[in-house]
Amino acid sequence: MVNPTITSWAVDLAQVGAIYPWVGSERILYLIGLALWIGFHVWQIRFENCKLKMEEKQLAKGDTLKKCIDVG
Amino acid sequence: MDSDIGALTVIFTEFYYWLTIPLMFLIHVGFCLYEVGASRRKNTTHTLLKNVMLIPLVTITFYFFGWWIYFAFPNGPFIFEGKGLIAAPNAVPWSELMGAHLGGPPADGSITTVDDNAFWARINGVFWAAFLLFAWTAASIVSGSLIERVRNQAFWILAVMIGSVTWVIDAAWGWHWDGWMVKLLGYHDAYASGVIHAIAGGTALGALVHLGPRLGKFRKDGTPRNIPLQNPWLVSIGLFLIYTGFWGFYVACNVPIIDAESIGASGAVFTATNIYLTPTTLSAITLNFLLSLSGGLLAGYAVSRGDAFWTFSGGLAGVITASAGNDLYHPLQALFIGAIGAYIAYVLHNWVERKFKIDDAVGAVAVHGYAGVVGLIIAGFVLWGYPSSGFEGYAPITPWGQAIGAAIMFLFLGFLPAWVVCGILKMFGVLRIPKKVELAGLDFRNTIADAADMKELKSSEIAEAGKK
Repeated sequence: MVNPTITSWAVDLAQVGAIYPWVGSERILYLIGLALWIGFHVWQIRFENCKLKMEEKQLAKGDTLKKCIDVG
Repeated sequence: MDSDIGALTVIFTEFYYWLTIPLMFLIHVGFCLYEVGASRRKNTTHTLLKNVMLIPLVTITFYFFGWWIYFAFPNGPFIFEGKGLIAAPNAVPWSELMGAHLGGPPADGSITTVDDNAFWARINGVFWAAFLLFAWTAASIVSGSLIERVRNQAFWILAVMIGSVTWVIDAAWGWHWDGWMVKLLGYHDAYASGVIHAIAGGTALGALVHLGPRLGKFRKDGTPRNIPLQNPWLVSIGLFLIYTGFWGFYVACNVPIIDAESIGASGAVFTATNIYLTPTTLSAITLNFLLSLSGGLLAGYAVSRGDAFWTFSGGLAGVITASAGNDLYHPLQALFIGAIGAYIAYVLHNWVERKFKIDDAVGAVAVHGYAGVVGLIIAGFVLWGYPSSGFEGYAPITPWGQAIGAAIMFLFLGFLPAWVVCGILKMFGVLRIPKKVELAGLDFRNTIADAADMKELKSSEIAEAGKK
């Protein structure tokens, strides 16, 4: 894992492979990405459930539900 | 790329697939407009957000494992001659070929060859993106059916399931020149009647069984109420954009240029092929696309007695029905097949809605699912005896091969996984939104805030006008 991967463009391009920074870090990047994806779902499920509970409570108060039905 | 013609072929192919991607992006724009137009005003923003957020979720998971599944699973696994997974060094997410790469020789320890690198360095990204856009389409088809009552979390799990797992498995099995369904069943589905549309329709149906209808959809006697479209114009524009994006979809289903010897033929010629590497031409599929669209529109208009929504949807159903064989049909065959598909989709939609109380808000199960299944079966009869591949040892196209393929797409990989996943989500109470929120509308906070803002604005307008 050395960087920069490319130090000159004045080379035989047929011999040039990957050109992104830190070639060799792909598996680490993959694991971080995978963790972020699963983490997003976990957070989003909690967030949405909490939001819907709060909205339900809000709609149970006074005439909020009636107002929404009238406006919507 | 050891010759000029080889280099030009690869670079042309790269550019060709790249062009299909923005065209197919229009399919997603179309689905978004369509869904917003079909949902009620109280759910507009939520509906839009639900569909748009499938883009990042399906994209990252398609990068993480979807692309690998396509290359690794053509044998079943273990269905074809007991063979297992196929090595896919270009498609694993840690491959150097999944990033910026100029095609030079493989790094130490890599199992790719010099030729692999020269080819995949240019093709991997654009081919991946073309398949990704199919994945968005599959997930987006499901999205429309569930509007106005599904929780985002449930839909997004379902979107990842179909977009990055189940449709890719079906593509590896039946939409790959080396797929076991092609070899053993002679399965032929050139423009994805089954591998995108039937599976998406089946997935939507599996989800709808657990999700249930929207509040107020059915009367006490079981007959359905019409829930008026918020904006018929937006729905129409959405459908027209889907038609437009379909051009990119069709073109992306082809290999643009390949020499005859590489596909088991002979002669010093180049040709375009479908995904099975059997020859076709852009001219042929253009004729058939337009004729099947026309057949669907005509039949949709007639069967729905001039209902605009079902006429436009009929056009889509027409293309979807003929898509399985649109590489080979005569244009007038495509016209008739498109018409048959649109007719059956409309009749089945209404029958299923009344009989089973299935509230498919946009008719996606019918337009994509039933039309896709019908299209596969019709292709089995019309193309009966045609070779499914240019290579030896492949079964020819037959009605039974197509029927089994349709069942695999719609039921086994479509309905069943969605039914199981949504059953689990329902068990945990996270499939459907609370009834009060559904009644008020998913955007009710915005609705209340907007109403308050408008009230304040009106008062200040009146006050300011009074001063002068």
